[in-house]
Amino acid sequence: MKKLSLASITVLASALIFAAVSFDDTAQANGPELAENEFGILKVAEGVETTFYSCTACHSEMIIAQQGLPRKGWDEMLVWMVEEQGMSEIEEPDRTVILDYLSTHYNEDRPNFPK
Amino acid sequence: MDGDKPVVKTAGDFFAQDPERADREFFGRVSHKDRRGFLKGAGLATLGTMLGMSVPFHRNFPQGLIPEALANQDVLVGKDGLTLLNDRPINAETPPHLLDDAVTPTNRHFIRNNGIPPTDVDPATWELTIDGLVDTPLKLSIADLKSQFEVVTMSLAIECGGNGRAAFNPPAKGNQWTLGAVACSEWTGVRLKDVLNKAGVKSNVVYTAHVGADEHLSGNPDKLPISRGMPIEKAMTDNILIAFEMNGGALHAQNGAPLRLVVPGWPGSCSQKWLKRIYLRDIVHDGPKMTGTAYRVPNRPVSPGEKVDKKDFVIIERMPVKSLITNPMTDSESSRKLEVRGHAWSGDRTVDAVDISMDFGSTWQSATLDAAVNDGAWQNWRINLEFPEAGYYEVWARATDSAGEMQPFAINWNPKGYLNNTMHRVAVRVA
Repeated sequence: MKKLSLASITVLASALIFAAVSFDDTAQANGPELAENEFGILKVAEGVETTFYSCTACHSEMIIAQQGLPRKGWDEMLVWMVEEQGMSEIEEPDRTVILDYLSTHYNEDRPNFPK
Repeated sequence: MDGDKPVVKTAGDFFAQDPERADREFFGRVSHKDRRGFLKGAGLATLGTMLGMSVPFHRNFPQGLIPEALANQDVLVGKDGLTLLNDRPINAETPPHLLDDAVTPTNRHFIRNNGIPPTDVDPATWELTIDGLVDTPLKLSIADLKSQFEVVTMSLAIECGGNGRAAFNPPAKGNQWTLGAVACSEWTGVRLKDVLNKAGVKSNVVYTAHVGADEHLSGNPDKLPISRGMPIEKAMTDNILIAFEMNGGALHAQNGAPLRLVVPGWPGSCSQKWLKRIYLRDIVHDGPKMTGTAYRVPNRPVSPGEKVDKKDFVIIERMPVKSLITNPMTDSESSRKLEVRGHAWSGDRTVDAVDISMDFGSTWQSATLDAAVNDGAWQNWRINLEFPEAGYYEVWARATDSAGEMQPFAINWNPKGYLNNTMHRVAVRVA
């Protein structure tokens, strides 16, 4: 699966010291950090890390956070990604972790809809 | 529905997460091994516009470095006040009050992406291929288009098929557009009809097929992110342009520079961006986002949340009648007198009336409605309201089109959240 491993993210982060992405003086002095929220705008809860890194190889987490689907809907979404959009199958236990996370925090009640 | 507060990510965040990709998307640049590289075409123009000056040493500008001056800007370069729904790929809509202009300026036109914009967008070398079931296949540069065909300028309204999706209950899959995935800019280009006539449309053609240069999110170079088309009868109408200018200037990088289709009144996905090829087919086109449930609705009314078999979906063609209140902004305060303004449109039809209510639909007043400046443009309207006393009001707008269809109050639910043309309601507190 297309996935940015934690190792490659670390490499990227250190490369950024030389690329000098400019947040403010403090950031430059200490070296760059990823955005304040490590998982973008996703709700920080059990399963967020697996979800974030599985999904954001291809697209931002922002589209995920906009959705409000039942578990079945999320499952169909993952199937569609594999069948139509070139994603590799997500193996267990990750797939269940992701479905648990999404159906808990991004269900039809939209408890975490971005404002 | 009122506009949500924008979820703004700084350009710093965007570059931090994936500098190579951000560089490509932000500036349209693929960097060389030394992590520098020429900024080309729209990317260089974008950078110059952003900084307000040229950048003589752009070749040396390192990958991932953003100019100090822009470090705190959000990712929507060259846009003003748009709400960011997604930042990869970029999808952003315009708050209604920023759509008040009769002609939408480039910096207020919404952005919808299915894939990743291309990096090489040089208008001097861009080539458009016309082939498939034609008598004479054509390969045309933008200069060829300008010299071989009549160049026209038209105001043309584009609306995303999913505009209004956020209001669906239960929620529908996809970007949760509220009110602002619509715009009406001035487009300059040549008529698709003229180009197809030059190629010669064979008698068995039923559909067009459009191909753009954007890349699939997966990175697979053999996958197109989107390739839709339209019936040939629609393609041969007079108000469809192959456009190379937007409001008298270059197309915005995110709006399809340097060449795109503009198909007013049909879902925005027919208006292929970064247009490389149109081919004619003797079957309904089946490219990505034409099949399955993409841009399709059930062939019958369904109840909210109903499961519908894939085979029971039909392709969306014209967009339904709709209007937008662009003044006042929702949740505004007002005195007892207020000028209310906005736009109205209906795919392949004209709008014949816009009626306004301030008492939750109990009584209606007619707005003054302008004719469209040309076929395919939206229509502007205005009305002076007098509120009877201080208090909370909602101003509702209801357009009626030339086939007698009005905007509904409630959503006709469909699984993918398309075609929400319910009335726009703005809240006003009158003092």
